[in-house]
Amino acid sequence: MLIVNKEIESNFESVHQFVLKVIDLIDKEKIVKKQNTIFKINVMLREVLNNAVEHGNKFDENRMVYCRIELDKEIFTFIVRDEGEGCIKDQFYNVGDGFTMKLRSRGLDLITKYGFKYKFNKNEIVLKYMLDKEM
Amino acid sequence: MRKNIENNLMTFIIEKDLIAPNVKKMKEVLNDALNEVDEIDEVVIDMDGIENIDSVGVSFVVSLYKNISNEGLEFRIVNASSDIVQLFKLMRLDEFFIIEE
Repeated sequence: MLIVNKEIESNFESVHQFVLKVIDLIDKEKIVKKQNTIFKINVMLREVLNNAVEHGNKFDENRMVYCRIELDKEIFTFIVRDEGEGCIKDQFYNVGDGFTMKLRSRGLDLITKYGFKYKFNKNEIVLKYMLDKEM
Repeated sequence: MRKNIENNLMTFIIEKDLIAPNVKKMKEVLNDALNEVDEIDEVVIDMDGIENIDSVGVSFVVSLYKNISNEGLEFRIVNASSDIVQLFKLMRLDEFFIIEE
């Protein structure tokens, strides 16, 4: 089931408005059982989209961020792609820094802790979340 | 954002989400308020009104904590939602300051 397929302008406010709409949709359609899961999706989407805007597209108003969300047999798939130079993993996530007091390096660690599986492909990240394993 | 000073305790009541579009303004307001006062021992951030948070917001809290603790002041978060408390604990921020629901 396709939930969302949309292009977002490269600024934080557009990300915020988009995430609010997605969360509202997921909540109203009662797609997930636990409110805590909605919060996790909320945080994850902001993390990935903000990074695409800031580090992928570098706030370039001529570049868009593409987001597609699907649900199939209790598995959420989130695809986020920017129009940057690729290698978004290295550009904006300092993987392995852990949960220390270091600023702006926590995103991917947190997403993993929340139970999302992810895979990078150049300027695209694909995340999976299994609803039957809601934590 | 509102502030309240009572008995050497400064409380900031955050009324907007702790997210990227809001953080810059919050930072300015907080820094101005902190520069205006001398005799406080503790800074409390009241998160009662916060539903949404992102890593920019978390970084703001961490940065604030660092600045305040460098001044020798206590720092505490109160009225955070259970989801936000869990998020802060996952980031192990509870090892540095008190986070209360």
